[in-house]
Amino acid sequence: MRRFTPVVASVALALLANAVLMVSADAQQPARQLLPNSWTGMSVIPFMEGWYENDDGTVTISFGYNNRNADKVIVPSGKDNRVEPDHFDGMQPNVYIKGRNPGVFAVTIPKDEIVWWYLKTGKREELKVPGDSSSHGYELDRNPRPQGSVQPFIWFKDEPRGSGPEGVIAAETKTVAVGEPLTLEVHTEDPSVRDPSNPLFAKPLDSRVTWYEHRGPTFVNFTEHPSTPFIRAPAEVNRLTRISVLELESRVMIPAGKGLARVIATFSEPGEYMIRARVDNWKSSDSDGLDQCCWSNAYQRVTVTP
Amino acid sequence: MSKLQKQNRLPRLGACIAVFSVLGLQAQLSIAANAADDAVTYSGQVAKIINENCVVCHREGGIGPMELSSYEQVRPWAPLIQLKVANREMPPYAYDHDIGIQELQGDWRLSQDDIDTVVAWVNQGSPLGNPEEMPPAPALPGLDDWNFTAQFGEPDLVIPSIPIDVPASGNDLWDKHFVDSGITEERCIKAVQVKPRGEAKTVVHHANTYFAEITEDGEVERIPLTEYAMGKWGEIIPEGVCRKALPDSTVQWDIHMYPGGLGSTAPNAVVENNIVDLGIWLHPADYKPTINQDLAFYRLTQGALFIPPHGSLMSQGLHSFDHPVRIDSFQPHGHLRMTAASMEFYYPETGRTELISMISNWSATWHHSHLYEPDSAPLLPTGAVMILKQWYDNTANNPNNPDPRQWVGWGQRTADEMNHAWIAISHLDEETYQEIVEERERKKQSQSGD
Repeated sequence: MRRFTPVVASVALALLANAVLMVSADAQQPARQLLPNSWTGMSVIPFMEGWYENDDGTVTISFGYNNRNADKVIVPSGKDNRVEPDHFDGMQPNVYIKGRNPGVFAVTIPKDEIVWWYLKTGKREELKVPGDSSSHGYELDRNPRPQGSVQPFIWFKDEPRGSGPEGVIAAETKTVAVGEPLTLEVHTEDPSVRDPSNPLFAKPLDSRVTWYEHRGPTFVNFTEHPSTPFIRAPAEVNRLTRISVLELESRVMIPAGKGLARVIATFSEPGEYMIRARVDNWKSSDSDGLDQCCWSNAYQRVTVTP
Repeated sequence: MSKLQKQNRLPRLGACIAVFSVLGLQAQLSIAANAADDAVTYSGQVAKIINENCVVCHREGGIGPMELSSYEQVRPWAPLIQLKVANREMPPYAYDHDIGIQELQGDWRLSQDDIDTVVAWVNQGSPLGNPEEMPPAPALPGLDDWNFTAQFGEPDLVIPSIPIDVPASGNDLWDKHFVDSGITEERCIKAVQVKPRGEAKTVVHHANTYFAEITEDGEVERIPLTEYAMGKWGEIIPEGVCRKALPDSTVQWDIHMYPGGLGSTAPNAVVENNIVDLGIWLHPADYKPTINQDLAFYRLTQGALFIPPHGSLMSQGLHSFDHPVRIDSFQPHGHLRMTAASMEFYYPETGRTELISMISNWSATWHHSHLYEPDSAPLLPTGAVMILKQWYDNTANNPNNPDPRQWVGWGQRTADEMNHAWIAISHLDEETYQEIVEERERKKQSQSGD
């Protein structure tokens, strides 16, 4: 008996497959009827990933997004891209790469407060999402996962270590002129303790650092630093979870989960920028972006002069 | 393949009927008693129905939130039992009547006559009747017995997962580890059940198993052995086909745990030494059918699953095959916003669409794999299209919704959503397909001639 592989149905029917009926029951929002997929002009959807309870009684809210467009989108900070109350505004991205990007920033708030992230892409409707700790269905934690994965450490030279989506922000703002290369550097260490008798963990796992343009007036060009070349392998799909967060070219391997990552950033327009470095240990079977563990962010502010 | 969970948690689901006000529910009842006005008593008619359909869970130590083993235990809950039975919420087997294929194995649904009897009994004041007419207590399986023991005996193989402590709260956990299968020769699987032990039932969201091989470069190649999600009964592989148990293989456990648990009996506490058992019943070594059956994961529009706050969504996926197939079981999968699912066939040559199965009251606490009776299992001709649809409700009207203010996307967490179905398929060739069609036609003619 032959063993067969399912094949996808006809193209016409495939179009039907992509038809998704979304109906809003909120009278404040317009109905969304049978919106076919498009590759441009789509909204960036804000997500609250979840919340962490902190020892001091505050909670940290992790936010991410999904950009359904085929290309990167810039939504300038301000009325179309804001976090309220105002004093929590400023860490959300305004550069959105395509696809689902979990935990790109976090805010820490008193346990009984709520923040809202508002996002309006182009002429699309304004989308919003609340961040609070009212639903235990969205509770996160920093405990080791079943196979030992924890949030890796990330830090800037001679500065404190941090971890998790809130990560660390460099104390120093770097300054560079338009067109001049700027070398950025983060230190990382994955303290996850895994069972070496598990064949998947016979040797320490590599971790990865990915460089992102996070805030700024325009896109940033990243090129590899000779000391930490970009990963040349094609983007991987996590075979164990069958889902992947889009992998960028600007990613660097950290052998055995400990070391530094460098990148060269070049800016084409003057202004205030923020670069994000994310270190993840998603090569482990118990760690994945949409599982909400385990990665950590580091943010570097850059002033670009004419 | 080469070879081979605290208080105020999510709303309590499933059988959480104890939290409802009985009086309030009575006021909401709009149940038309279709049964005749003849006296219906507990001892005369109702006890038998309760014993045969409810007590297996609603007994001391059972997963039901109250015991229903005697009239004294049943009587206080009579109005609620009426509501749940009349609405077909209990027993918890959501599968629409009178639409699509109705011949199912392991079907927990009550007949309409039984429903009418229970409704009439409550409308008549839930009388006891003559105690001397009380039927004997049912012979129940042990609480930890395998579901298929009565049919097939004890499993040939029991493969436990490695114990793990599940915390009382926090993020979902995914435990993926490897254990030896103990299978030394290629065999065909007769039935399979995945059974979380004790309190693990309420913290284990899913527990999938795979025959897995780890390559030299550390990659895992695997094929599904079976799938388990909360409330699943198990799988029986039809006679005449083979789902292979691979020799010298490693079994990979892929267990999704929800700290604190889900459902009325959730512990809201640390569950120590959480173990899930995999029971496999095997055919004899000389059972060698030529038709292969497999269980696979069929996607819907995974990448487009974005449910707006206070909104709803339907997604669908289309699949066809380059050979005829028989669908042996259908198990839609989703999380807390998913409320309904269906399977349809579309025949391009005629333009006709046929509804195969509809579950319009789907719940994440009971992931039934609907096992079609072999003579009724739907046959999909080459090139015809299997249409899978799933519906999601992210409004406050959905009692399972953890937070209707949130955007919901695809993800493995309980608070995120999924849209796929696990479907067991026997892969046929054209000749075998025709033989099955003709055999069914002969049986139909024979029955009509009787």
